[in-house]
Amino acid sequence: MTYAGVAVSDSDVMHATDEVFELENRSTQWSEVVSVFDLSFRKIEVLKSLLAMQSLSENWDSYGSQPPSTTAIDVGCTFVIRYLLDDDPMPRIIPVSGSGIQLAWKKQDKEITLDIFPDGRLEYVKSCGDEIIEVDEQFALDWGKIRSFLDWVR
Amino acid sequence: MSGHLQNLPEYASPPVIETVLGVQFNPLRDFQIPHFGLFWSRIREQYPSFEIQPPLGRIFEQFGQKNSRKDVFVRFEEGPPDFRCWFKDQQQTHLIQVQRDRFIVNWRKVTGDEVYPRYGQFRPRFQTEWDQFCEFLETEKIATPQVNQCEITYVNHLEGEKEFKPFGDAKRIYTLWSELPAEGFLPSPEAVRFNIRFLLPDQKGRMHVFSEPKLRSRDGKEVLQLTLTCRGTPLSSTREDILDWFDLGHEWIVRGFTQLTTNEMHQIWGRTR
Repeated sequence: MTYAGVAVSDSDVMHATDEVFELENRSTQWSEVVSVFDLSFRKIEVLKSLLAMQSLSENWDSYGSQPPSTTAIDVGCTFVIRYLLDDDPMPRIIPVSGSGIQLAWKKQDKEITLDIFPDGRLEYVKSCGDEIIEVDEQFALDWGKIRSFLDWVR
Repeated sequence: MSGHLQNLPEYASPPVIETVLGVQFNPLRDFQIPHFGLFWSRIREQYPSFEIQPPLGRIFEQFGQKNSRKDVFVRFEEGPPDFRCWFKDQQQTHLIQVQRDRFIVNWRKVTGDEVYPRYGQFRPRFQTEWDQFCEFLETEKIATPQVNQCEITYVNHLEGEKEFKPFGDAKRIYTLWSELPAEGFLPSPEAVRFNIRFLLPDQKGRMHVFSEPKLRSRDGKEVLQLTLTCRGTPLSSTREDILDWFDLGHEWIVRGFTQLTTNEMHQIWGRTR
C-alpha cells in the first residue's frame, strides 16, 4: 500500500481505488464502510461530504442529473485518503452536472479545481482571477503535482 | 433450534446492519469457471445481478498451536484463477457469495429502513440456499463439500448522533471500558479501536469481536462498527451439524453482544428480554 512519491497513470486510478476499498472487501462483510481510525477529523469531514453526495436526489440540478457516480465518489475518497496530508488545505466538495464531482481550493484570487468525471477520469484547472493558467484534461494522480498545486493555494 | 432461542436476550430495534452465515470447505477442484454461470442460471430469478470479487483467503481457527488463527491465501497450481462471485438480489439486501472453497449467505440493510430478519428466519434461508448449492454440485457430479469451518457474523452500526457523540465515547457503550480518572493526565480518547477473542467451549471455535470507527459509504455517517464473528469446525459436513454449529455461534454472539454492551445502550435498542 505504498504510494507516496509514486506517479500513477490515469488508467491506474481505478486500480488504486480498488486497493483503498479492498481491505473492507476481503472479508465476508458486504456493507461498505470506510475505515477512519487513522484519519484526522479534517479528512473525515471531507469524506463525509463526499459520501453524502450519494444521497442527492435525482434531478438535483433541475437539468436531469443523477447523483455523482459511485466511481467518482470512490476516486474522490481515494484522493482524500491517500494524497491529502492532515495540514493540507481541504477542498470544497461540489456536485457537478452529469454525475461528477468537483474538488475546489481557493485562496484569494488563486483557484484550483479538480473535476472527477463519472468514469473516474480527472481534469485539473489552475486559475488566478479570470486568467486560466493551466489545464490538464487527463490529470494523473501524481504525488509531486498534487503537492505543488496544494502549496500554491496554501 | 427453537430451544436455543428461547432464553436469549432480545431487542426491539437492535443495531444490526448485516448478518452472515457461511461455510468454508476443501477446494472443489472440479468446480470450474462455467459452473459459476451454471449455478447462477438456477438462482438468477431471485439473484439477478452478479459481481466478481477477489477471493477470500482460507481461515482456520486452530488450537494448541502457536498461531491461534491461520489465514492462508491459496493459489491452486492448476486450474482457473481463483475468484469469488457475488449473486445479488433485486433489492440488494440478500447476497450469495461463492468461491471454490466458500459458500456464504449475507443479508444487509441498504436504506436503513429494512426490517432485520431474525435468526429464526435467516437460518432457514441459509439452509435452502445451501441445499440448492449441494444439489447443483450433485447434478454436476462434483464431490460433496467437506466443510472445515463455519462462520456466523453480525455487523452492528452504532450511529453517532443517536447513541454516542465522538468516536472515543467507548465507556458509554462497552461494559469492559472504564473511564479514565478525572484528575489524571490524559483526556478522553479521540478514537477507540479494539479486537478481542474468546474461546468457545471444547475447542469448537472462537468468537472475535472488533470495534472500530467507520464512515458508512451509503450516507457518509459516522458509525462505530461492532462486528462479532464466531468461527469453528462443525462435527461433520452434514447439514444438521452445520446448523447446530451456527446455533452455538448465534448464542455466543447474542449473549456476548449483551454482556459487552451497557444497559444504557440496551435501553436505546429496546431490550425486551
